[in-house]
Amino acid sequence: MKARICLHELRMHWRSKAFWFLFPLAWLLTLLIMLASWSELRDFQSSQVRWQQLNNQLWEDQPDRHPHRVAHYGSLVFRNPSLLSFIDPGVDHATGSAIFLEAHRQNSASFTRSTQSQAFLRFGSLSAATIILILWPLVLIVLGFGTVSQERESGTLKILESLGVRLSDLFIGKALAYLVLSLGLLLSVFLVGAISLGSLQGSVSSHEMIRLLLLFGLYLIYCGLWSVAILAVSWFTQTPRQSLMLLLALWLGLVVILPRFLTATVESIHPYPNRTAFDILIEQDIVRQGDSHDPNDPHFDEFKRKTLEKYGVEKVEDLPVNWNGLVMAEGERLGGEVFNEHYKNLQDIFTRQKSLIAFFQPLNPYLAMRELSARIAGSNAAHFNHFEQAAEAYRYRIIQELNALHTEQIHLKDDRTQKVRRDEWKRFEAFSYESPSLDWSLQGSLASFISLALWILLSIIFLNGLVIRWWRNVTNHGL
Amino acid sequence: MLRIMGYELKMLWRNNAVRTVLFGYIAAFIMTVWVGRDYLERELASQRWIEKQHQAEVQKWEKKENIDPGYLAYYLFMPTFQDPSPWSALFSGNRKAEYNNLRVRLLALHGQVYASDIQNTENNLLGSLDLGFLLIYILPLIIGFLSVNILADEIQTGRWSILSSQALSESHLLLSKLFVRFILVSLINIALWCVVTLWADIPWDKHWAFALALLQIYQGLWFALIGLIISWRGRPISNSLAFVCVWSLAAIIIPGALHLHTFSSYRSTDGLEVMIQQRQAMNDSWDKDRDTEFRRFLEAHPEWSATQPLGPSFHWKWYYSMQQLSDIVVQDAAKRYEGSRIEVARLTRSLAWLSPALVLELAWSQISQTDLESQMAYFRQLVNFHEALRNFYYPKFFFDAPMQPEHVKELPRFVYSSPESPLPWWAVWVLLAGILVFLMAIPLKSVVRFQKKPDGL
Repeated sequence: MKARICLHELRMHWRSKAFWFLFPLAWLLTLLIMLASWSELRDFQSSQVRWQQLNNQLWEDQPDRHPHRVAHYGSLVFRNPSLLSFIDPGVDHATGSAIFLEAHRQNSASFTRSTQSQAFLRFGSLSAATIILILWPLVLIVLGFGTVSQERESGTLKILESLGVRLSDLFIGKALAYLVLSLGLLLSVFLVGAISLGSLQGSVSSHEMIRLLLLFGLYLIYCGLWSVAILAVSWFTQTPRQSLMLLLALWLGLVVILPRFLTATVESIHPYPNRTAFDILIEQDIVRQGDSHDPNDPHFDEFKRKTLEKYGVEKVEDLPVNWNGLVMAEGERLGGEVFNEHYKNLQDIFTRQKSLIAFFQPLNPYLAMRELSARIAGSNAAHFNHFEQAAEAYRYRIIQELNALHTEQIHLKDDRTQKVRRDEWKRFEAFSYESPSLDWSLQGSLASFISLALWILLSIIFLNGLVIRWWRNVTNHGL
Repeated sequence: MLRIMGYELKMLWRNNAVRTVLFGYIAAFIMTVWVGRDYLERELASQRWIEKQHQAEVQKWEKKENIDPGYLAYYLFMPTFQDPSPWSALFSGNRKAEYNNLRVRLLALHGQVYASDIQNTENNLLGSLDLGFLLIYILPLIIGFLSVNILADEIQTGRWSILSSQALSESHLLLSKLFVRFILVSLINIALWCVVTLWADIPWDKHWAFALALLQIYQGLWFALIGLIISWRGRPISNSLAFVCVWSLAAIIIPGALHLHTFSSYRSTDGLEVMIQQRQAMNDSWDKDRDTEFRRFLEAHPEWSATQPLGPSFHWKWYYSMQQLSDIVVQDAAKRYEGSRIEVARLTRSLAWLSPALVLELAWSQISQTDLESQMAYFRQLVNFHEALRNFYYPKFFFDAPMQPEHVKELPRFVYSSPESPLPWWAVWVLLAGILVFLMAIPLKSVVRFQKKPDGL
């Protein structure tokens, strides 16, 4: 019976003009957008790789230099976006694409790819994820708003019931029909996605394929939830017109309005400093803890005393190593510590903002979906921070290695005029970055999964007709 | 006519759904302005704090017994700020995405100006909210909700024939129905606009009137679209669907597609080139012959060439001239980078007519000085400020002009002067043209039919 209802529903759409207008349009749009993002990603990745190679080459080609000069010359790391960002680019366009690593300073990533008109980005950059999460529900609404209320209006619902069709059969059959429609879109999109992914990587990595499959499952659940929502609204409203109005209001509220009100509110509740204030706070803390450039700084006085004691000498000139190099290393250590603390504080503010929004996930599955989709695609802010932290760790390592060279190979007397042989630069390890595993990506997403599970459970209860039976008992409300 | 309109207004008021929607709209209006004001105030407070820290820093230098101008120039960052227009609380445009309070010092300029501000990017993903969003994207939906079925509903309830038998013609009836709704929406918006003007300290000037007029024309455009849809005499549901389709095209699909299109013409690699070239030039100068490199700088800037030749030891004039030389080296790459940004702005403008939402976005961001052009103006003023800094310090390096702690006070200050932006008349013409197109698309047949008295539908 379920299958027959489902088939009937599909056949009805097959004959409708709206379907033949909307479905091919959505399908084509999704595919085109995805392919365009894929080719953009491919170009971007290869250009990032080229820049990284150029940077590494320039590093190795440095002449004999003073190590501290090299520390100021520094290095650059180029971020490669996650492979699946062609489906869900997440925060990718808003984050910088290169970080300059140098002594004493932790630079921010420069050159975001979306320093352009925000007017285009009011609904996010158009991507397969945006279409599936924002526009496809709208298409489903337009196709299915009257699925029950139309039958009620035309009287067929009564006939169906008099024929002994069970409510659960009716609901499951109809919900299946919209799931099949969604499956038609998702399957073709993800098939092309898988092929694109394969060609992007040369050989298909199983990790990325698992992520792709997860995304597919996630979006299918999302479409399923909307199908049930459409059915429910269509059942509880008297006329197709009411169903449409209510569904449009629901869509507008859940997908467009609530997320924006939430972000605006959390930014006011938990404000964070801007870059300039952030930098000043760090500088002030560093000076408070120990200013390596101030000859009378108490921290460095103490450091000097301990160092002299350790080597058993009276003055820095008698040290077997270069005192300047030691000071640089200690300054870098302090600076690194202070920076990491402030960076953590900032991330804590972001986390507080995020958990306030997450509080609404059980009410609004769209929020949970956005969150999970970017996580699985490896393109949310956490992934960018992961890269940023890896870059900072690398910066700290090479700068301290350079400070060690300064300490060991340069003499205190006439420090500035000496140089280290160029062969040393080749011994430095190049930056290599491994994007995090799926386990890592999904850490802390339990709450989102639970709120989704709740919605799935609710949908199943509804599809079984349990809600309706209860409703009828309460209201004595016939079909 | 007036009687019909009064009756319509009463009908609207009695409708619970209409009341709910309108009150929701007013609440949202106030909320978005509050959010925008809150952000603006935080921006200003943060800038005051930065300024205070800077003053404390300056005082520290002033208290020193003697000052090495080279160290001062190296350690003392100068705050700059692109002062926000009060309008930016309403129409945020690009402002939140740009870094508009950079600190600069005498080091090479291009090494300092491409940083990005801190952002919780995760929030961008869910979308940002300002009054502009409400007016540009949500208001049309409210207009649609109020008006798209004025004819279809009356026909369905059978009231149409009764009503129109008392009136002169169908077109009269329809126009007065539409007019009542337009006036209702207009009055609400004008009233709120005035409240907001007082609240957000916006001057009552020509920009104020212009921005408001744009809103009225924008409303007019959506009403014209509704007129077109009504003229098709569809069922209520197909009217609503047609309206939603047009809305999603204008709000989501066209802007998204244009973003993808302009994205490909923006090359961030031009920026990377600046970064790499500059760092190379600056650090290579330490390995090259100092006198030759210094002469190269003096040739480019003969105004300093009367200086003494370099001695054997380190000198700040060499250090800072090498910094500036690296700015000169990357000039072309920097121009290309700027060019690609200007190109994106130009492309954005030239394609905006495809969606009325974009037209209004751009026009309002022009008025609120949150557009790319204002950002560019700030950038140009930064360049000039850096030059002023050089003119302050260089005589001390090159001609040994005295530098006493009390001179720190004389350091140039950055004062943003907002560019006199022309009123975006282009937006008016584009929106009016849109209205014209919609009105002309109304089939003549149905106009003729509306002119007649109804023949008992």
